[in-house]
Amino acid sequence: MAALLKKRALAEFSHVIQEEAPKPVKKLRLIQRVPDPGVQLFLQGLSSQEALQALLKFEANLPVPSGNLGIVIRTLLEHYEKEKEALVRSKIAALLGKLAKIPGINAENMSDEVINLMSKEESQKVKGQLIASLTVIGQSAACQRNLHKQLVSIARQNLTSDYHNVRSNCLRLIGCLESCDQVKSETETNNTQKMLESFFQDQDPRVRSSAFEALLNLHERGVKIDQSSYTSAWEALNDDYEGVRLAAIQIVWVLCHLYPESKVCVPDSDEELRLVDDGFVKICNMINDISVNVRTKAASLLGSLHLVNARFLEQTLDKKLMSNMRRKKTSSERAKDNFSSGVWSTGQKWADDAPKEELDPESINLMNIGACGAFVHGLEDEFAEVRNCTLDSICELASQNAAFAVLCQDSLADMFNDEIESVRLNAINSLKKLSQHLEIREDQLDIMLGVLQDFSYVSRESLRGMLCDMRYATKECLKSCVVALLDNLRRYPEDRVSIWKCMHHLGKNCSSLALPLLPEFLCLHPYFDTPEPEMDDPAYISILVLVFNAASGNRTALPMFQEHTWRHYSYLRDTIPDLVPELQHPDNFNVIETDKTVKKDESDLTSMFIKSTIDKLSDLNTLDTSTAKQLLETSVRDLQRVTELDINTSASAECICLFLQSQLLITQLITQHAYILTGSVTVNNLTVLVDKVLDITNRLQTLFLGLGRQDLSLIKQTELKALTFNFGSVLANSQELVTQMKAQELYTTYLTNLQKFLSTHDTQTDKFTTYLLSEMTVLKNNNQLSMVQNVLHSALKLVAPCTCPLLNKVQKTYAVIHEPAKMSDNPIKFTAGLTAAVTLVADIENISRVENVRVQVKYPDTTTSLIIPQSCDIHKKTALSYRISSHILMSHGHWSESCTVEIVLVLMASSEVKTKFKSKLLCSDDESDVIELCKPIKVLISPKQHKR
Amino acid sequence: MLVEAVYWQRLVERTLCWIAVCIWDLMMIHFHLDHCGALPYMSEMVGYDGPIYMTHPTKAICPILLEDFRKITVDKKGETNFFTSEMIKTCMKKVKAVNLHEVIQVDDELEIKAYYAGHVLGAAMFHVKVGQQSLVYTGDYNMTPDRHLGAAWIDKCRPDLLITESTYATTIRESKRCRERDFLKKVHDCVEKGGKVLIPVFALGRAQELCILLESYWERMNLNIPIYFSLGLTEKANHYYKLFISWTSQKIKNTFVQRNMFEFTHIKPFDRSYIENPGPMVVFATPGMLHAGLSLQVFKKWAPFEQNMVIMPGYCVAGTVGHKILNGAKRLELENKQTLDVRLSVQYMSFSAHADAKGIMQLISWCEPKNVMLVHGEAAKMDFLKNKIQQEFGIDCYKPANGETVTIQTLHNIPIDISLNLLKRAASFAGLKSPDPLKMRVLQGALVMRGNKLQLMDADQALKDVGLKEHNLRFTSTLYVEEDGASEKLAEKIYTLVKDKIKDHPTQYSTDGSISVSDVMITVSGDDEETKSVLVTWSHQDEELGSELMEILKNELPVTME
Repeated sequence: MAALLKKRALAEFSHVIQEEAPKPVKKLRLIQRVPDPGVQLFLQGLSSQEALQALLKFEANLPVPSGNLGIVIRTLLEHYEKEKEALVRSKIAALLGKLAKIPGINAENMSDEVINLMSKEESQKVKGQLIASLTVIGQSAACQRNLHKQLVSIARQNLTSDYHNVRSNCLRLIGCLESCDQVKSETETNNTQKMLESFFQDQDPRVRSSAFEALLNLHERGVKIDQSSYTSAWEALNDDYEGVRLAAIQIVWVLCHLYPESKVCVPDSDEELRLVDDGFVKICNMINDISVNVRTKAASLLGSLHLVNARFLEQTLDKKLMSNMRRKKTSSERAKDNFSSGVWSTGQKWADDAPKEELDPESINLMNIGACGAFVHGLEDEFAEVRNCTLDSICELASQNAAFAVLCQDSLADMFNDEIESVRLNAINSLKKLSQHLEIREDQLDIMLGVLQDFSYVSRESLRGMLCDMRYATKECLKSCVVALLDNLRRYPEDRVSIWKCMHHLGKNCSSLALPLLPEFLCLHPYFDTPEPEMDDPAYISILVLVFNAASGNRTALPMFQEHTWRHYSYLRDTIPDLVPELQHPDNFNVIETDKTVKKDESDLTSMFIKSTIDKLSDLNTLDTSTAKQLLETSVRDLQRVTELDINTSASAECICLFLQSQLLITQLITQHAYILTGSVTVNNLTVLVDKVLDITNRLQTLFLGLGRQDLSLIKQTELKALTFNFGSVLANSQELVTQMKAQELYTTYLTNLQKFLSTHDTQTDKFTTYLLSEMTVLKNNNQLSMVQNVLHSALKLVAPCTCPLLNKVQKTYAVIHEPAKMSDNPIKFTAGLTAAVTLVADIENISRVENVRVQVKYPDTTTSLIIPQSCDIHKKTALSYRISSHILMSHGHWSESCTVEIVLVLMASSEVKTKFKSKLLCSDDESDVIELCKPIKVLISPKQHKR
Repeated sequence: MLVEAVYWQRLVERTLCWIAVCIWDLMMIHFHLDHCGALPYMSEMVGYDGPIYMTHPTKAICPILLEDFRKITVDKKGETNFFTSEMIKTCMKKVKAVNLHEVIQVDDELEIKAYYAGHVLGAAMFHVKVGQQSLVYTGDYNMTPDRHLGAAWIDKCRPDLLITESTYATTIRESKRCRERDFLKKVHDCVEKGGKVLIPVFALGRAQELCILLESYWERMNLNIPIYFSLGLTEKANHYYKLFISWTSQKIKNTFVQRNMFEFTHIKPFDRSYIENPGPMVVFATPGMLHAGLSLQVFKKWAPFEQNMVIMPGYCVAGTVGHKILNGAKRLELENKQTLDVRLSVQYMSFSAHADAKGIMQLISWCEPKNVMLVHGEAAKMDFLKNKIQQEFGIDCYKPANGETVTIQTLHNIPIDISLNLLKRAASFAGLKSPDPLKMRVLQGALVMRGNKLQLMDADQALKDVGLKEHNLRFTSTLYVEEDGASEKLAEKIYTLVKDKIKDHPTQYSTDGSISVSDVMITVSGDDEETKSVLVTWSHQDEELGSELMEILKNELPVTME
């Protein structure tokens, strides 16, 4: 398996051109493949059965390029005329429809042919199929009004057919093609609608559902549908057939949106309801439907009816429990009562929830009639799809209505315990979205905090995200939150950073609740000094993050800090500045005051420093090599430190730092250039340097977003310098003409590309590049390599290090792997030769082309495999950040003991240089054209021998 | 005659003698002993000889339970006159397995169809149809899904009678999640503190649900505290649970490709020696009411320690240890004059798999029966539900006491054969105009009774068959109209009028001045400047159209006399 994986990886990512060495100057010949004769269909002289087989085979190959489809269509039409078997004819009709979708086919001509066939056709089955094909043809000729009109009139004529398929296909065609001009008179659209309505009660369910779907289609295409359909639509909600109900429910929903305020009569009473309310109730009722699809649809449609009256909305959550005819309180109601009365249930009595008051049999509502209990029912549904859609709808409605949000709080909290993870996650996220309306009670928090013990990283992460945004009712809530987070930290130490972030938000949002808890958090005692806690303890850091953030909003907290707290404060302020706000020490107010201005502009300070560093280097090309080298070395060292200091500017600093490193390498090459051309420097030595430069330029071009064209051109020119050195040395050292020629060819192609790049981007070039570009013709000359060598000589003399002004703020692409967590002691066991799946959860930030991301797995025997994550596993978070959650398959032969495998996210290099020059540069392994996005994670695996 | 072997042996002995004579078909609802316990007795000892129908899982698990039942009754209690293992075997051979939604023709008239019922693995509801009459027998069912089974489902089969259980006629339950959360939280808290948790269960049904619940929670929370399950019956049954994945809940069905939920990784078989093991653990032990066996043994050992916990997941019969401790007994007296202090915490959790009132109502609304019969439950509670059903659905509801006979009247359509030609001809008439399903159409033909079959055929054909001559009956009516001008003019006027008013019949104006609307003829006669007579004549088949025309003419024309 591993071998296969590797093979595949090799095949896909490195196009190694292998050529036999001895043959002179053999150019790579690209064979132009004769275009595939492919699209052929012979139906001549076949029996019906054979023809059908041929047609099926042809259909399986669709879609095909439109090249010679004209002949195919003609063959089909000819055969149609001759065919006796209705089944084959209808297959041909279906194929014509499918072919009409292929771009490049003239739909209009085809429609004439098909209409022609229609008029002669006897079989109803074939007729139905022809109409279906006409629908497709009409749709692919989108702007031909006249054709549409003609087709619609044909469909209308065929509506009286007694075969259901013909009728329902006609209706579908009308729905798809009936013109939706605004200018068209009201009456005409009304007529169409009237006509469709007359089919709402057709005897065949398929025709009924087509009629509803056609109306829906008309609406989607911009025709305003009339309110008159409402009655027949809601009557169809009781239809025996699922498809009809499914379409009718959508019509009701559409009408609710179109005419929310108009009144409808309630049957059996004089009352009048707003249409949106009535529709809402009707759709709610469908949550009790037999069919899952209808229930799912109903649940998802409810969410968008924002205009519904609060009275109906509140009913949806109504559920009265009873036991033996006596009223029983739900656990959440009990909890709420306890909360308001201040008495807490011990939870130890088994009759705690014993039913109390007797109920009047008349008052009990057993049926979910109308809106009553609709959402409760949806949340208790058997199928996760329905539950998820109900959650979505509740969330959407609640975000519009604060009172409803408070009501649904308990139901949402209840969903935290669902058996299916996606539903649990949905509940967490829904609650997060409603955070501005809600105040969390202690009992609810108990349920929610359980998720922090969850094994799945994603659940824990989203719960922490939710905790950040929530408002809490009491200080006890905050306390249990903190306790749970610390417990989380103990169980899963890898969540550290995320927990600190959560503490940061908790402190900021609930500073007033945190204040009374401070002494407890900081282990303060009124009389005794408490021991100074360990500074490295992540739990203590979490507490401090919370405390400092709470204190920043509430100055009364500051005097409570002990001396060591202040010490720890200054340490944390340095190490995790973005999580710790600045605080003023009450004693040395003034000192901090002066400090403050400096601190505030920390980001500015670093960026200023970077700027000054670059400025210092501006005259780099004029300096002599050794000074330049010294200067560069110090700058690189400075910038490396800056990278660690400040998050905002670290990417820029790193970018410049890398660039300067490349310049440093160039200076090294310069010092050696005299020897290079005479051929006295060993080739290996040189290639190492060149390789390093190329590596850096490659990283610069791939990892950093937001580089300006000036920056890019500088990077490319650096690349050129390195390549020139390399080329020069090849010419000087290699004795074989073939190698030299090949090197020349590669070099000149690169140069041409660069020239193209420079001219399109209109950027300045340094002397070296200018000179080389002007000598292009000489360089391209195949015959006289000595001339080329001369040019190179003079060019290399012009080489000088330069600096990069870096005007834009750049971003660096990086990844964070959340799962698998760091090295666990339990190896993943699987049978050797088979595969094991490892869950991978990772975030990738600042990435523009996420399709270039690969997962690299390195086995201890140095074999590696690159895995392309499936596109369905990649979820977009924001414009430039993604989350990958997928399974990585790994496999290996039998091992005697468990060993670690490294998993790392890599990015395919965007620069083409590396791959092109690889064969020349002795880079043997395929790792070189990928760039790691994070530190590798080690996973312990142990392939076991197959048990017999 | 439909019978469910609900009765226990004793009861059966008395009643079966006459029942066996008239049963020709037996369907097993599910494998619980209160439903299938008497099966071998009936088929082997009483002499029932018809087919027995069961779903596949029931057929698989039933013999294990019967064998266990036999062992306990015969070997332990020393009962004689009981069925033997051999009898169980021969009895199971007579069983025919059915699939869900598979229609089985038992004989010419009787057909049965099984629906999923939840409750336990393989439980089914049966739809029985004889000719036009049909009924649905639910057995026990569950309308709320649990961790291992889905909810009962039935389509709109509109039976004449729905016989449903109504154990929880007056209860509406809280969501399953809430109970599960309570259960898991209690167990987790207890083991977290180092306590041991004892869960007395019966071998099949709830036990599997609780196992899955704990197993997936352990998985989710990544806990490694051991969970044990007492050996024996359960292990065999678990094997069948693994096989019948298609009968389980959505989650298990979706995930079994990766991992079969019944292949427990955290739950291991229990050994008596583990009782003394230190440290936290969770133990499932049989039987469920703590009246004997392993669960009682474990309970005795663990009861005196405060950190331990016992969770009773179901009902306990009065007199059992389970019932006593649930009522708060702190000191128990054991057989040999010993006493046992109960210091551990006692929890009660209801994990019942019967439908509650809401569920029953939902099932009724789904299958839309014409009558409902409630069985199984307390009379007072059933009264409430009966009233509710009558109120909400407006259908009759019965709750017969034991031994009471109920007669239910059902209304039925009488099926009639119709010749295709006749139907096609009628349809082609209708096909001429745009279809309007709201409007009734008249189809004319002769109703012929042959043997006990009814047939609708063309009138001419029928007459020919019987050898009778056809008589025609025509109605004629004359209207006198006061109008000037030529009679042609009036005829013209009538023609346009009729054409305007009556659209779905072909109207013709022939050259001799008469107007024909389908078969109705209108003739106008009379000289100029005089009262004209309008003669309308139609055959009795066109009575409707004729009278409609008359009405129109009378209203629209200045009619003087008829």
